Amino acid sequence: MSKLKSQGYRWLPLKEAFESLPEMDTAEFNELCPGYEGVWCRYLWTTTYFQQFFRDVVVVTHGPLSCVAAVKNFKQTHYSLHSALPFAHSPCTNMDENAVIMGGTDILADTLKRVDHDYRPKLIIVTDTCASYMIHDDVDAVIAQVNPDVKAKVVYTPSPGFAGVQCGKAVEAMGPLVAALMDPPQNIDPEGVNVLGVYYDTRFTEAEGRKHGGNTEAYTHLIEGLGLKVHRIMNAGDYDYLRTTPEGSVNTIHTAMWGYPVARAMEEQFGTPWLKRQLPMGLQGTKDWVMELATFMGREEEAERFTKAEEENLLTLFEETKKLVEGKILLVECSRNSQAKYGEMLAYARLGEELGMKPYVYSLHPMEFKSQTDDLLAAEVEGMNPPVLIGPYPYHQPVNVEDVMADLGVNEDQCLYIYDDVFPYAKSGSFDPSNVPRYTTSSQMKRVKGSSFLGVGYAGTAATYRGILESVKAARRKSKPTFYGRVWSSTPFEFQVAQRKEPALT
Amino acid sequence: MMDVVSTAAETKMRDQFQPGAFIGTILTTSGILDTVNVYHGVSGCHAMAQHLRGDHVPNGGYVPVVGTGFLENDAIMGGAKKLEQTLRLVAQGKLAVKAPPQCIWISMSDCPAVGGEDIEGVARGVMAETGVKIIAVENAGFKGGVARGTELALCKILDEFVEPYDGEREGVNLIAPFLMGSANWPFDIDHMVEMLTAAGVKVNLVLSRNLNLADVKRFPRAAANVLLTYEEMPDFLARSDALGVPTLSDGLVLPYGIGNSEEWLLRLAEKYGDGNKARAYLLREMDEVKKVVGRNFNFSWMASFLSDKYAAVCGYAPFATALARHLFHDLNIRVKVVGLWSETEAGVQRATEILCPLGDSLDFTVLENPTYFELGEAVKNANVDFVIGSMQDKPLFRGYGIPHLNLCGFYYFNNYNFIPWPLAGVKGSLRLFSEVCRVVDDAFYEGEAWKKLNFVPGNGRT
Repeated sequence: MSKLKSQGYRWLPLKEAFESLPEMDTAEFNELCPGYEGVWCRYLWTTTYFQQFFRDVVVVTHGPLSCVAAVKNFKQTHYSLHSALPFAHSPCTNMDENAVIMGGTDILADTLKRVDHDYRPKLIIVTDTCASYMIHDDVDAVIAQVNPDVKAKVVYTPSPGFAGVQCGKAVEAMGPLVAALMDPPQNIDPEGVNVLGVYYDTRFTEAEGRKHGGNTEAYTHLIEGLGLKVHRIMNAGDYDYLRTTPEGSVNTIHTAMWGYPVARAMEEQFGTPWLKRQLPMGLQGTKDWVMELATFMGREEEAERFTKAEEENLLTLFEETKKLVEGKILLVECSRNSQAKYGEMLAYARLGEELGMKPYVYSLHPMEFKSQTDDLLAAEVEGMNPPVLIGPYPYHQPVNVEDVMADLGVNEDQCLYIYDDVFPYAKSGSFDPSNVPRYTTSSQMKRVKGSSFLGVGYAGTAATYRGILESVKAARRKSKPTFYGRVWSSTPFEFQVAQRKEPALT
Repeated sequence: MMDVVSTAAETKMRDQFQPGAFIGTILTTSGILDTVNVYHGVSGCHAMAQHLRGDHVPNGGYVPVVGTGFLENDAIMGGAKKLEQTLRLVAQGKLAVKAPPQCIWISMSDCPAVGGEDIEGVARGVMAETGVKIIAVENAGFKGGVARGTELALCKILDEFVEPYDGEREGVNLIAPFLMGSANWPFDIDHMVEMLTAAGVKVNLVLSRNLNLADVKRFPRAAANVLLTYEEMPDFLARSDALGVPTLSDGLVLPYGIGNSEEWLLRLAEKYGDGNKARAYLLREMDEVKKVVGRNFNFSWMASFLSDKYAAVCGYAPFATALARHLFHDLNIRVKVVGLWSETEAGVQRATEILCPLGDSLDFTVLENPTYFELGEAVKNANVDFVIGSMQDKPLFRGYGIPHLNLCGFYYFNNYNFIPWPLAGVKGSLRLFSEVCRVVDDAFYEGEAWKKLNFVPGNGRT
């Protein structure tokens, strides 16, 4: 029996795996998977969602400064540093123990007036935190009270950190909040196409001076390839850009997890139709996404011509990559980014299948799996049903990829390893980029000039093929492991590995 | 002349980087290496705790922060069961550690605190069952900032582990090094210990850095505490006084730059060590510095180039104060704006008092607990060449087109302090100088012109 099996892990097809799990946050679930940690919370998702993506919006936090610090400490700062998002001003009511006992509505009123006067935004969004929400501070009443004195529109988005599972459910809850900020359409552009659910920024392009982007360009390429126009790519821009989104004639989807909830709410409020395929990656995956749009817009002929020409351009690269990886096991390691959209890893799995690999998905925590129902829906739409490793993952600990390989009975030459965030596994002497091909699919880490760091469209697909190809070549050297792998290893030098092997030979 | 601007006095509204009390506690307890933190609360706060706990890792140790898995149902029904289960597993050495730790510290977030979770009661129960010491700290984010959380932890340590002591007292305890406000604080504090030791000052304890739990019992053997922050900590000071250890709390400037280092070391050496040894040490250190930069054209060039430039500094009060003095005194740079952050009034007041004498020879503005908006506008209007701040404010100042150097804040996140060399002390002046030279690249290299005027083969040829 493999180590993983003895620890209670088993492979099940995606859908079956989902159904085998008990309801979240129940005694049965907690028994199965004790101590789910998560990384962020609903407050963190809400603030980052609105704060930096819309540049004339100021988010006011009604809560302790600590909550603002939790956002600035990494997430917000990382978004600025490594994406084209500006610094986020984050005024806060600085709720203390006294305010928790006596209420903090006066401070909130003062803060709203100051922000309106000093920052002069078009829109102020008030978010609350665990403390202010739990003491039932009446935010709506404060907004009504200050409204005559402020020029900005003020909107309340309830966002206590404890509400909902931090990944799926917290993101889902934001869909209606985003749609609520939009205006009913005045004129609908018959050729205008929206893209919803882009988790990263999109407005600033490489042509405008951005170092690494390519996502807007990739969607523009696909949409204009059909003779249509990009109307809005969300989330991005400013309040006016956001509020006029319903003037597009159809919503397409980048990620289901971030796009479906907004699309549903827009359909309900404005009657905007939406398409369900997500993440145009790989030749077939991109074609399917394009054809779904083309069929809806009556552009099938243009789509056939467009996709054929694009595929011809990539055919040599596709064949070359396929030749190197066909028959390999694709080790799809979900970690932190999968908390917010494991569908992205499924899209890479789909791309791998096109290249002749067999994907195995692991370290997808059951809580995150169960809470992201929209990613499951998208997988059904696309006919994806790869094996997923289900098990306890106690205290949110991932499983070790070497244990996964042992369980699957494969060696270093039979695998390609992909991972979606910080902390990829490496240990020189056994598992390192120098001997096992690895490719980052992380939206945090993947930056390729002239491509899409989210991997979408033909440019994104080409970059992924090239990346995979280079990874396989890099792993051929079987020597000179990486610094990172050496640091994590008890045998950082090659002479140690040789010494370890010698007794076995003699 | 020094102008002091304090709009913060008029309002409770804030926009600054100030993690909550539980972070202060975890930064304190994470320097006690044979212990474990258990965090009971919402995941967003937990992530920050895990991130900042990592400050202790370089040349230090790894103290786990284990979350209990607190979810929405626990907010409604109470999460004591999860806390109890987690504590038990850790106490038995079955989770996060391979053997029972010497102590488990419980920290908590706002949600269970407002809900009235009885973390003390759960701690008592598991402690009785397992025999492992468990200390619960009521340190939710709304209880205060990092300094308050530090004070809460220090008080618990004194209450739980330190006995009255009647013997001879010698040297100093260095308290709360991470509150200095230097992003290089782990290597800085290690070097400050070296400096004091060379000056004959016994460092009894650094609370906390690379300790075992048993070490904290030494606390009362020191002649005094040197608080490495300007914040008020009345509860800690009262307890320490009761143990016979007074605290230097009159705002000693931190040893960043040569002038500040001389002042800091001699003051402490004269009182708790040997002034002659301190002076000899300073001379030796200066000789080492001279070996690198004396008669060095690169140094002369840059020292001349930096002179008379304009700068702004913003950060936690002790470090920002020391840096402002260093830039002006040591490098002849005109500091036009100093943004000071502090949790307590005393914190900014002490910093302002230290900066005040500069007003005789320098015109500058001090912003007390400014919002980022006020800070950005003030710096823009001052037309400075560069800003020294923290990683979190880099996009703000770069957004104004002002070059930015991140030396302030915490070690965590993109500070790239992988070379174990201090910013503090005479030796640290080399690193400080190197860092300032680097930001000058951004400030004065004509990168945009290079791009626009770049040679294009064949361009203009008919």
